[in-house]
Amino acid sequence: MADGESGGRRWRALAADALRNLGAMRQRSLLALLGIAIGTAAVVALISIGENAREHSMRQFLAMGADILTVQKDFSLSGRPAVLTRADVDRLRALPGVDEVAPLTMLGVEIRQGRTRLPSAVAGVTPEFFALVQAKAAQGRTLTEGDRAATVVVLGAGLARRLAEDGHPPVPGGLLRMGGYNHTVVGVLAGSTPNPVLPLDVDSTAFVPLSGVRRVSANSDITNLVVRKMPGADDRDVRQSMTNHFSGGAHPRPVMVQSARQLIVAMSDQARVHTLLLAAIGGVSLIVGGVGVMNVMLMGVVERRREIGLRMALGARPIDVCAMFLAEALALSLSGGMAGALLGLAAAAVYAWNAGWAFAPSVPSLPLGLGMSSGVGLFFGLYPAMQASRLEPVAALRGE
Amino acid sequence: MTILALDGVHKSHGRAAGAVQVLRDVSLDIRKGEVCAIVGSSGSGKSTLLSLMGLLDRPDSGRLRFEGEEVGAASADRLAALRNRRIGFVFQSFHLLPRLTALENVALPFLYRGVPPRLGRDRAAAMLERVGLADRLHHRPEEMSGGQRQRVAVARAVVGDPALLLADEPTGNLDSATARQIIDLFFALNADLGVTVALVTHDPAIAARCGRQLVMRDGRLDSAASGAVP
Ligand SMILES: Nc1ncnc2c1ncn2[C@@H]1O[C@H](COP(=O)(O)OP(=O)(O)O)[C@@H](O)[C@H]1O
Ligand SMILES: [Mg+2]
Repeated sequence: MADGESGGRRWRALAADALRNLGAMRQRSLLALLGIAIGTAAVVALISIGENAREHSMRQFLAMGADILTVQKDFSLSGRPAVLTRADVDRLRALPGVDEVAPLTMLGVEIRQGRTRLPSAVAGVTPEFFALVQAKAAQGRTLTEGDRAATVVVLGAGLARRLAEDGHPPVPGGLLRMGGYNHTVVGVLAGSTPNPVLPLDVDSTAFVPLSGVRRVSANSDITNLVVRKMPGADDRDVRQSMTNHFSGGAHPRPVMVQSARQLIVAMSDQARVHTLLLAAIGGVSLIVGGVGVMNVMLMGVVERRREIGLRMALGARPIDVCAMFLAEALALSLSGGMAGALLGLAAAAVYAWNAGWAFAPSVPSLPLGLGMSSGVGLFFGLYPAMQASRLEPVAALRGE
Repeated sequence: MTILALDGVHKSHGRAAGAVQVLRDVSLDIRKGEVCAIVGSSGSGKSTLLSLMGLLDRPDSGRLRFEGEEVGAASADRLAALRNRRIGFVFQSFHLLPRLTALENVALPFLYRGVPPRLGRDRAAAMLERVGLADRLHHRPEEMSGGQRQRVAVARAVVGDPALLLADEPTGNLDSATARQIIDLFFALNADLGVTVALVTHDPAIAARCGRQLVMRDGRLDSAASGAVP
């Protein structure tokens, strides 16, 4: 029978035959094709979007420096309220692996500039804070040791923009009223993206010297510590020794020490769950498309009984008939899959563009999408193909 | 020399209780190179007999030998290979694939032989020329008359150079003039290619032209009436 070479030719001829047959069932084929295309597009788009989102947040994290740890009072524990002190700052700074520590008091205050009143986050900080979070002044300067007793303020870029909405952009030398005191603006920071590790959004905060907080609020306790570790130090070790600092001694204090690593792990876990979930949704639409393919093929088998019988009379073996229908199902789902993959990539690109991310086509999503669609085609095409190949030639020829 | 031999063949249609005995104890030999007519009233089992002869169906009991090979219990693949290479079919309703051109229809048997498509098309074109359709190679069945369609079907049946050509009422859908031409074609092919022909017909004039007549009567071969025409 067919030797190796003519076997290859045979399959190629069978494939060409399959494509021609599909053309004949144009309308119903198109519907099934659409189902597969949508399913594949969903899988490809969702995986690409998920991957781009993960890359985006990772890039952001790396940009903001994975060197930062924060200490926060833990309110969830009952008993003695935690107190953070200047002494903690010095003790933590002395720990091995710790580079810099900046204490922080967070408040909410109404800022007045002329007639404008704007509720805003205000943070009392020491001069090290700005270097620690890599915040730079776009105009004027950041706070210095010399400002310790001064009534001055440095504005985040976003806050300055909002204050400028009344037509009077705050500039160094200008005055802002907070808590009954006129504060002199000494600087406006350059814009920055929010850093999820930090307890505040630098962009939308007004910064005053830590010692000046009591001018704007009755409560001037330190609420957070922001810590930068040495570049070479292991953040887990640093975090452990910081935790030990607070839990040891005669009066253990309930605090939360957080590192970028925890957030990254949590975020990428979440992103992975999202990606899986989205891929599952795409998978469901693929299965719906697959059922469509099965439908087209089953109707094709019924409608083409005479043709199947004739082909058998001309010498088609059961496996040839099976292969013919499988090839048709495969051609159908693969062309749907290819259209869907392009559609999905386009959708992911639009989504990324909308979200302001860098778009990189997800490399594994293409073979995955095409593989899934052809897998679906083969799986759902198998049953109709088997049905066709099991027909008896005589019965099929009579069209029964 | 015998090309096909049936020996005590029984065949029934339908299942269990509703089964109908269609062929009863049929024995016959088809000799190489002959043209043989199968006649009989409607429902007498002619088509059933022909599908057994064409290895499209299997006998319930009895022996069926094709070119000396016992095929009553052969595998589906073996039967398909024999149909592909050794047997050609012509049907009353042509059975052409409507979306294929005449050329593609005729080349179809080569699809299941692993013949290179170009070679298959060349042989199909030559055969269409042989049946007088050189100018209709790229026409679809719907663009052709009944007689032309049946010529395409005959070309497809003999393009693979079979030993046995089977036709079930090949002229049943044709007017008498066209029918004549088709029957002429069978005889010409029989003479030129040496292909053995067995055809079912209701037309006594056609049956009379054949070298031998097999008469079916209620599922049995009427051996008294059957035999070579004087
Ligand atoms: N698939 C089938 N199921 C049941 N009965 C059938 C089937 N095919 C044929 N028959 C019966 O078998 C008998 C012979 O049919 P057939 O061989 O087609 O006769 P002919 O071709 O001589 O008219 C008829 O009575 C017919 O009704
Ligand atoms: Mg009949």
